Amino acid sequence: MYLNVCMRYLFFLLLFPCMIISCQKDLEEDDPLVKENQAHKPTPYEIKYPLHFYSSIPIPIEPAENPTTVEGVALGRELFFEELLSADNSMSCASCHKPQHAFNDKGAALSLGINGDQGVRNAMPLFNLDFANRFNWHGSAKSIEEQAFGPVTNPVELVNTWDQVVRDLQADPEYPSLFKKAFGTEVIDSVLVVKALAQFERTLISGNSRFDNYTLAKRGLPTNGPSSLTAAEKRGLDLFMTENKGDCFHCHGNPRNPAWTDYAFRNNGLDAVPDSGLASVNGKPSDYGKFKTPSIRNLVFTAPYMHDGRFATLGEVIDFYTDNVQMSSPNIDPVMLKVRDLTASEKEDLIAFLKTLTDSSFVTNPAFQDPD
Amino acid sequence: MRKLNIVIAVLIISPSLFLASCKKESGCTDPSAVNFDPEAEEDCCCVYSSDFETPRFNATINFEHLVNGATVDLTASGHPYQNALGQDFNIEELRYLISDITFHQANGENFTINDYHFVDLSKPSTFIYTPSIKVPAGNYTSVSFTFGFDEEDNKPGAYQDLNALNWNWSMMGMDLGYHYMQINGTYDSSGVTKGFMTHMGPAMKMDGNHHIVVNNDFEAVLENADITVNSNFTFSIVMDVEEWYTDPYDWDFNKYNMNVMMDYDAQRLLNVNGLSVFRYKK
Repeated sequence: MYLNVCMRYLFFLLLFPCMIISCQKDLEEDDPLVKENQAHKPTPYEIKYPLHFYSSIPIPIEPAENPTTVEGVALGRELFFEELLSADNSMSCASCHKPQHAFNDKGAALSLGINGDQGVRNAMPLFNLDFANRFNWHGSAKSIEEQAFGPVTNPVELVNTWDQVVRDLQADPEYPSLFKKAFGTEVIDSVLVVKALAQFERTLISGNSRFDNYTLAKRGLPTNGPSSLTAAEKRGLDLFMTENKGDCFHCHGNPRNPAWTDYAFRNNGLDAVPDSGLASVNGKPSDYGKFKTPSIRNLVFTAPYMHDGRFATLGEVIDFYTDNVQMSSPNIDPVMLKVRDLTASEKEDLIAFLKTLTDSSFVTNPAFQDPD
Repeated sequence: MRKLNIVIAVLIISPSLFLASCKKESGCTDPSAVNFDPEAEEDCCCVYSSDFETPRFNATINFEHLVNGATVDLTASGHPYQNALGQDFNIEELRYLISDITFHQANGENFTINDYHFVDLSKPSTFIYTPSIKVPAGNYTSVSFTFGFDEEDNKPGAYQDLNALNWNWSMMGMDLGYHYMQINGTYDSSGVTKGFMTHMGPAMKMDGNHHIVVNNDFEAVLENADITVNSNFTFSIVMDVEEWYTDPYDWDFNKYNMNVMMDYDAQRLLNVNGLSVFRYKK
């Protein structure tokens, strides 16, 4: 046995030089086909999160079937602001997802499509999307790519057909070459369109609020702006984090979770007879009335609130949680089944804290604006 | 003598020279070997850890959750379960954390898997735990684990997957680590449905101006767990949920329903009741 192991090791050592000298490299460099492919290879785009994200939560792994590239993101940005995506060339994704409103619809509770028809849900803001694994308020899409398919053909949104979109983009003087750069082909199809849109959306990262800088400073990491909180804001954080006060943290998280949500689906008791929500996707009676828990980042830009935009102000939202929860609502989350007793000044403190999660650099980031 | 040296040198060097000019890389192609070479194309010279030490095997641990003998149904209508005080309740959410599963031998030696596992009853994939750390062959007489994190492991913010689940536990501005358990549901309070959230984690109270903090984890011991490890093996950990609410203390939902995290006495009570919650199943 001992000799046997010895012999194996001896062979292992003898073979070592062979392992170091690669025989493959020469082959690759001479191959014209390999050269040709490399010429069309788009440049990988490294998605960078704020420093404190890395030590806090698992960083998303981009899908192998749609790696993010510089060319793909540039194309996706063009498409995001592209009105050819709508049937009458009047609206783009950005019509309802405006960069200056954290990609929400500028105060509209429900957005209007190209024909003036009203949608049924508040347009979701778009940031830090890759941390979620379900998209839309009721969780109907399982990926950013899948979500991007929906609005183009939705009868109250862009009311187009994918055939038409592909024809229009293909006939455009610029798009075929942009697709060539991003995906190595000038032949456009709907899958490539949503892939490019998703790549752009993955770069929409928001993590430079005053609270983020407060967190960075606390952890001894370099900050990018003011990093102190006022006494009122700190009191607000404590109310947020205290179980017999705001008890907001069970759903919306805490300073250790920079997503500021767990993305779980819950019925927060808005209505005694709620909108079906997640149950409309999976058919489960136990998910009736449940909607995705949204991040509380950038609330200053994303009014009105809730899945149907029923509350115009943060004050209304908090008043709902203290006074108006419909406790008989089916599948209401148990965390809602209690009295939240907050004084008027405590409510002000809570709102003061929420506003520290405002990332102004996100809404003004030049890389996220209309490229044209 | 000199001649012999040259012969040996040639013997050693020549295979290397020969192999260096090859087109295919030689090396160990077996991923289970210690010298596995992912670049290797021609197999040779694998070395296995079993050549040196006690063989180790994979544990697969299944988790089962019963209330009074019935499998927990998170979507059951009404209040199908009853506690020792006769209060009817349901369970809508049940999540918990265990760590440091330890295998004990009769001679007092033991082996600990330094790892943690999070179970969420709404995600059946979490009912199976296959730690990447293997267990050495041997005869084990009992199994234990830490419910939650022990003080050493309960480092605030240290676990990214748990942070993403909002699993952190803090109180009065103090980061105390993590939740160990959340049981959420409703109960029947004399005909009125009320909510409860049995959350367990570190316990804190004030003594004058001082905070008293107890980490509040406990070691769950699975008696009669005779496990002979000589191949990959499987066993089950059963949670009898009703045991959280009795033995020795009968839990009154009217007294302990919401805001239990902040209730030092409730936390300590769960700690004691928890000792009889888990059992071993072959």
